[in-house]
Amino acid sequence: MTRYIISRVLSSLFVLFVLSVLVFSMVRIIPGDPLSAFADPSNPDPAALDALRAELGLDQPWLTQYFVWLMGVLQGDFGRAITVPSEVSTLIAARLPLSLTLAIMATLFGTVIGIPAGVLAATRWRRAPDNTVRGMSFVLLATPPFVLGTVLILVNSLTLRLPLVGLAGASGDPFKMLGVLVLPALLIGLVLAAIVARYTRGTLLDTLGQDFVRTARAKGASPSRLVGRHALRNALIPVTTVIGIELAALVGGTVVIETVFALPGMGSLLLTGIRSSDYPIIQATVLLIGAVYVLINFIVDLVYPLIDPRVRVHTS
Amino acid sequence: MNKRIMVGTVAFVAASLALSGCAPSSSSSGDAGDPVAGGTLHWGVPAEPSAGGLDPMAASAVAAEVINSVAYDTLLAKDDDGVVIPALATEWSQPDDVTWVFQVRDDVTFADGSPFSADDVVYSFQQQQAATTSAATYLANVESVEKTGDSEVTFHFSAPDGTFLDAVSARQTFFIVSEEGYGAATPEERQRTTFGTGAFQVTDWQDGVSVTMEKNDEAWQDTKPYIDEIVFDFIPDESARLAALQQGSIQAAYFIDGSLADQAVQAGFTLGDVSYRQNLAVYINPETGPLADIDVRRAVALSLDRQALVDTAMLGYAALSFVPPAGDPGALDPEGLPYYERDVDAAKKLLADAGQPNPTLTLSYMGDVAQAHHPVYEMMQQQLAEAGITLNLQAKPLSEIAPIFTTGETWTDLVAIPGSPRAASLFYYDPVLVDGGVYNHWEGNPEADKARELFQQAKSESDPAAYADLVDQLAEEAAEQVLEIVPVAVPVYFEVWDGNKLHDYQSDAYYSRYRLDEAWLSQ
Amino acid sequence: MTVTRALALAKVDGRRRRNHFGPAFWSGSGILVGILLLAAWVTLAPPFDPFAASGPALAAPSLEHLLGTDNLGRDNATRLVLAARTSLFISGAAALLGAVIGTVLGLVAGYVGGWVDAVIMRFVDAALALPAILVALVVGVVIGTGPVPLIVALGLVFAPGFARVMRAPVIALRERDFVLAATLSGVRGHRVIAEHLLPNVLTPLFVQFASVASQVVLIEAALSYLGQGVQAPEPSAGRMISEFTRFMQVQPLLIILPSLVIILLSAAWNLLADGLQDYFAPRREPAFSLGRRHKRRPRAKQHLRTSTSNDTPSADPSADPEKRQ
Repeated sequence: MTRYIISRVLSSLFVLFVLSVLVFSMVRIIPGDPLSAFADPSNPDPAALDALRAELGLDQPWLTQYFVWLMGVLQGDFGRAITVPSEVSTLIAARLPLSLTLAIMATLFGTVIGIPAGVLAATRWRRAPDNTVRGMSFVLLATPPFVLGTVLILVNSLTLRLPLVGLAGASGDPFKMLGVLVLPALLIGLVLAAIVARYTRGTLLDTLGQDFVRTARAKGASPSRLVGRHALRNALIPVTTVIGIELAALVGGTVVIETVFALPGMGSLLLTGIRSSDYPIIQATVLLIGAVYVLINFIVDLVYPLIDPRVRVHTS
Repeated sequence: MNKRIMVGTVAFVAASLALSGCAPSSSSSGDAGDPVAGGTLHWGVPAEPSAGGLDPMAASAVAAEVINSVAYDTLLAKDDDGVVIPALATEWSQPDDVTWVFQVRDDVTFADGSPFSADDVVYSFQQQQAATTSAATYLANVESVEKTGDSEVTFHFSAPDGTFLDAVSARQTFFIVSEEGYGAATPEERQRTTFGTGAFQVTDWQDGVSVTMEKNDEAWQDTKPYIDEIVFDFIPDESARLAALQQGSIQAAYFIDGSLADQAVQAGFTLGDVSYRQNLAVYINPETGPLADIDVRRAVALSLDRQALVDTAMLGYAALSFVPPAGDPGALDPEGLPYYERDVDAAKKLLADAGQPNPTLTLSYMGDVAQAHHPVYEMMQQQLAEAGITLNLQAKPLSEIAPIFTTGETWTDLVAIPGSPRAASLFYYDPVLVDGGVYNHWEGNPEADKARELFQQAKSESDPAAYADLVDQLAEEAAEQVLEIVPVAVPVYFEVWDGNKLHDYQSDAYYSRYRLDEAWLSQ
Repeated sequence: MTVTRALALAKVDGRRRRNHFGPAFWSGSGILVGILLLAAWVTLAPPFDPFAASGPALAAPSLEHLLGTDNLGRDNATRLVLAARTSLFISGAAALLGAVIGTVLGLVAGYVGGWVDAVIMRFVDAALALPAILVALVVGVVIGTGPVPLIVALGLVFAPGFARVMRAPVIALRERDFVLAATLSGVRGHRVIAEHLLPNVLTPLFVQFASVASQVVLIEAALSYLGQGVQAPEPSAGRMISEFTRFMQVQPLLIILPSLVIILLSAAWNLLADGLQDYFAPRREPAFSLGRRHKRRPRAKQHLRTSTSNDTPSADPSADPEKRQ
């Protein structure tokens, strides 16, 4: 087990290293110029920009820039943003909590709606509930959350006028913050619920088709007992993996819904960075989002053997 | 499956139709009674100040200007008719062509408590001269700034300068900072807070969320500000900003897109007066390709139906314009300009004369910002096609267009870059006509000789009437030679607010928001 | 494992196996073919110029303009079909590109094994560690916007997923007799891969292809919504939604119709994926099913092959993280 953990740690670290190289080189190939924000389109001054370029170290060779950056990152210093007067770590500290909260809330919604729906569908195979769940999940999977979000916001603007958009007035008040996040989290959660329901239904049906279930059923075990005691536990193990992965993908993967609801999360920070070619912001956000994903995957990998006794860890 | 989608669609359509049929609740402003003090005003803005932050010596973005123009004062100002009025300076005179003398107030204190004096004026202008922003270019002819009395500042010029009074009275250009406060501050502090004499000062900036300004108790104006606190909330998406306004979490907002401002008006909000100070300028690279031929350029200019661009592409939220933009005090009526009125037959004839009946041109524009402007370019494509010109549209991300105005990278044929308001009319021509200007591909081109000559003449003309006349002549010449194409001018933004909550506020033609000093909120 | 299960099942009742596509497959491919036919019509004989005004702006549906006109007076129906065509083309081509790159990587990694496998899979992990839309955003900025760069960007984004899906069954197959026999009898590695391994991993490949295409539709729409995808004047459903939100109160059709295009296309690919899965790897009937039986559907108790079920794309769920925006 120890060797397994060590090898997982090492490979996760290697993945992060590869990621940092990918991100760093990718950002440099972008044709944009991070200094464009300093220039006034109507009357720019190229000479002053060259001086600024030297000051920011952007005239150094890439390899030098990479190592300076990497050393900083290892010490928790992501450098100064170029186009925003702030440390990148400050920017991220302000946004990561919101993104994490949004992702966790969405995952909760997805799980709470998705698993019961999946169980309902599987146990009523080819009956009305099954068809309904499958149909709904098809539509939800095919509907981009930003479409639903746009429509809901518009309807709200014309009718109830609930405070759905933006953090105005809510920052600093945790309860109001959660309130603002409910609708966007629900919209993402619904899509997630569709995925979870499909997986749950699939794995549960697989389990219910196995011989031990048939035998138990033939012996007169009640369906609810069969599902609750035996089948569900086995069926949910792969589902937890899916939920973990989805949670990881949601951190920063919510750019569009953040835009629609005017939420300052990691996704919109990255979008700001991309639009202004702010290298430090792009590098830091992409690396951090990747790190969160790797971390959650790592945890899922560690937990998996614990919840599934059938999985034996091979220490070869 | 299909049936389910269909049913969903029908329900959705029905709901939307029912909604669009509902009349939005309208509110009437009317007489709101006497001003009361207190309250917090939430104002939705699209972006937080970017590079240079709020530092008046480094920032040039609109996002910083709208905040700084509330926090800082200038020596002089202009009223809505363009007449220069006193601000921190009470008197100004020009003893000779190369000297300006200002008498400044002696009863003003900065928000940090330090007294305002002629020293602060000298310090501020010296900082501006050394700064990297475009404001420094307005001071190119200033030889020295010195204190010549307790409340007197004198500017010495190396040559006569016709643009100086315009520049120094623009409300968002030469902010006067406190030498004591600003001088001692770190670069970080300069970028994240303010050191001015204005009615409100920045006290807090939460990254990505908001900038908060609090009332300045030391404000020098006759009436003290009523509002306690102004919070500028960052809401990048235009539709989201409108939603925030309609749901009441902000009381005022500004929009790039006129149709959204119009929706706000439909919903009962108040729209401020607009002034069309931003040209959607199309710059020309005549060095290679069909545009090297002046007849092709003229044909392009003649093919455009600018009124249709205003009415259809911009839904009426734009104005006919040339250089300087329609809302600038120095603008002239563009309709009399050469090659301005649409004439497709004449355009075709010019193309035939040039031996290029069907030229193909490329127009690059920013694809990921200011979507409200995109219909203009799409419609230009249609209009040019009617004259036999193929216009290839190239929507590029801002980051890809940016090198044109940062490092002076070149472009093919045409590039559309929305301008920003300049403090003086002549400076709209700077990047096109001055050597080294980033949009200047006319160096050594005899077709621009006369324009350059007029430009230099105007720059050193200190008589206001003669200066204005030269600016008009320059516009005629630039239109005649088609040195630049202006499809339409748009406002920098549309200001919209809730007339039931915010009272005695009015937009300022120069986008400075100084009337927040007098505005008040219902409690 | 999907494959091994499929093989096992095929062995059990191989003789009775009849090819039979379910309703999911038919409705999915039906929608796609319908869109293709419409696209062909609009491409070959467009009723209106999609780039020029052909009527008053923001007109309601009429006999002339079946779905009305947009803010510049262009025919909505024509532009929507073109948008669907673009989206269909991008989703198909990007999924194909991803499949080609990913399959090569996955087959090589799985068959060769050792350090080659380790290096390839770490890069795959690194690429999978980012939400697809972010990678597409960054890659898009590097190589530009427009249909072809989008295809390249999204193909690269989804290639790692294909690599993972391909690798797992290859490892399982590598040790099977017919592969070992081929290897022992001196057949070269690339021929073993092409002739023996590839045909046996086509099932997960097809399913993954359709499921990726469905995700590409959504991501393309999201990117275009953000202004980073298909650029004007080329019609795009995602951009239409962001552009026309401002006309929602005036002409709600302008935003409803492009939303439907996205939903239809994405659902069609998804249905196709499900149908293929059913066809290649049908599921055993569960021990029981609660609830009332549908009288009008007697086929429900027939043999499992007509099943429209089976939603587990693969036994290794991490291979197919449904990447969302």
